[in-house]
Amino acid sequence: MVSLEKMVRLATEGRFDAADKSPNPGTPGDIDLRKVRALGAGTKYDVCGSSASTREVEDGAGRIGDVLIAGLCHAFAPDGRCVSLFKTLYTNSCRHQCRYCPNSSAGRGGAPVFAYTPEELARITVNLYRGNYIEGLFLSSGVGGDEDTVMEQMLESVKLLRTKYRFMGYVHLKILPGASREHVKQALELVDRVSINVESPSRSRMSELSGTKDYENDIIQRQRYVRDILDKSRANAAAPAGQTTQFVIGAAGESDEEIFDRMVYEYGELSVKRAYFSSFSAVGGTPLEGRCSQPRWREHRLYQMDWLYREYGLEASEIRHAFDENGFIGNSDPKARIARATLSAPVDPNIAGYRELVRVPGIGPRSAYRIVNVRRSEKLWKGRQLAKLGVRMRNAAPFLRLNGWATGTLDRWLQ
Amino acid sequence: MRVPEDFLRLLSLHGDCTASLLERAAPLRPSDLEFPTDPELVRIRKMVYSVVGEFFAMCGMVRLKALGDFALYGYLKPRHDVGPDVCAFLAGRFPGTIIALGNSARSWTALYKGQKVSHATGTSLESTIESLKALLSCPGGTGGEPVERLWETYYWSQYAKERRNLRQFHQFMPKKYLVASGLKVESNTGCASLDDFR
Repeated sequence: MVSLEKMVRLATEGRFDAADKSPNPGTPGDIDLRKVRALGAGTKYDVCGSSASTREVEDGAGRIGDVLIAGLCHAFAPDGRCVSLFKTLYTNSCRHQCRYCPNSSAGRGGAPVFAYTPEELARITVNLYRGNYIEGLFLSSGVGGDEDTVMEQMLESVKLLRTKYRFMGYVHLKILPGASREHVKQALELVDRVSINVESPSRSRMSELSGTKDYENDIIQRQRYVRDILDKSRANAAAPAGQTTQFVIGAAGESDEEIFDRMVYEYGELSVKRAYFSSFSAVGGTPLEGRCSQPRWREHRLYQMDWLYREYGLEASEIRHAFDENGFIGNSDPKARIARATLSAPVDPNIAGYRELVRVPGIGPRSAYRIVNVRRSEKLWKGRQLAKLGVRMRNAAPFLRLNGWATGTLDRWLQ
Repeated sequence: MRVPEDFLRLLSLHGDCTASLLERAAPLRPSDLEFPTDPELVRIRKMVYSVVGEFFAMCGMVRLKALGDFALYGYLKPRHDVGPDVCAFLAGRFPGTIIALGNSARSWTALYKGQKVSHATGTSLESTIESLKALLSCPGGTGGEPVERLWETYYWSQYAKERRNLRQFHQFMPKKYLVASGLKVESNTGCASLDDFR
């Protein structure tokens, strides 16, 4: 314990040393709140589920922020989604004509066009960060007149944050479709994570959504740039949290299987760390305003499949059992459908291996790990024992053999 | 979530922890609490998780206002004794800046400088702020209201009405945390109140 006097002396002793102190960003009193609202709302449907990074933050007075703690949420909106990053567009002006997008030239109508300056954006970010409202910045944008100019402005904003304000918090930058390789390289050196939204699973589906974006050249080729630059760079030197992507679900009538196939390609060939899904919502004023919005459960089921693939280690060929003949999952647990198709006999938790256990509905990687550990010292012969280890017995029971008995053989086929 | 190595220290921070409970927990190892079946061990584990949960939530939900260039302060009234830990965590984010947190009864102050955290405790947050104002020769707080307005504008811009899900909102932002961190903007869930019909 020290006295307040000593603490104040310690805090102020380097006050005239410019290197020891980041510049005061001032108050954001003169910033146009209409702009903040419009550019914030422009990213409402962008998903960012992470603010974790392995970037090393140099110690020293004067820096602002760090990335030491993962998954810190600062607020949740009444829609239940985490609001942890200052998620904003740089500008809502866009020459692309994406038919679902309220920022596109086809969907904006007479809505006013706004753009930040790099200094404004940096000041808002630092002010919100100092108030402990956010964990960092998520910067996206419309492409304006041309993507290179806007990309330069976005990079300038991040440079200001990193150098002038010595901001060491998390930064996620959207790479604009068609951005140059040099801009992609610069972005990777400055930020923690980059993303390029593929939006749709194939070139033909993209052509239904946008007449101006070249799927292969504007999007997939930029993802390859990111992959190649990250492959060549030293560990943690460039965008340590890697690249991610996002799909708009159901805007072009695509099936879940098409999305799944593209997702597997993105993970395998383009080293994408995560794929995010956003159900299509019909926005007034856009060419697709009359189309039905997609139910949220569809997004949820796709996340479940993604989880089975990435975290549970199921093969793509196994997961395909979850699709119906039209390539849709439907609103039922995909793991149960896969288990019904692939598990030939009830699983005995006392002898089954980890790989077999995680394939049983109601048993996740953590509970499978616990089962494997606990059964070394005690025999598992009651459902209650498994429930204590985190197994959801309601889902798991039909697929388990406990104490020599398989339970609920009929339940197994009923949902 | 795995039981942390320093679970005894965390247990001692719990609002309902007693000396006898600490004594009984002293010989335990984290692995003893990993899959407990004994009711007391289950209770201890729950208490440890409750402290960890509050610490984690408060690190994100406490809002800070600037007091000149060298200090940030904010309201915090936790159920467990996590004040010093939250204060130290935030101090680590802003090296060279004094962080003062507290409420009308207690306050905690921390400063991270030279890879070391200095701590101080005090009575009310108000008196700590007054002392800091005097010591820093700083007449008043700056930047609090404009930043709050900025946040409020941004926060509501992110709300997708068609995805409204108050159940999930309350699951992640339970009332106990809203009260402990004194959040105002986020406490308004956009529900209609009687005032709206007057």
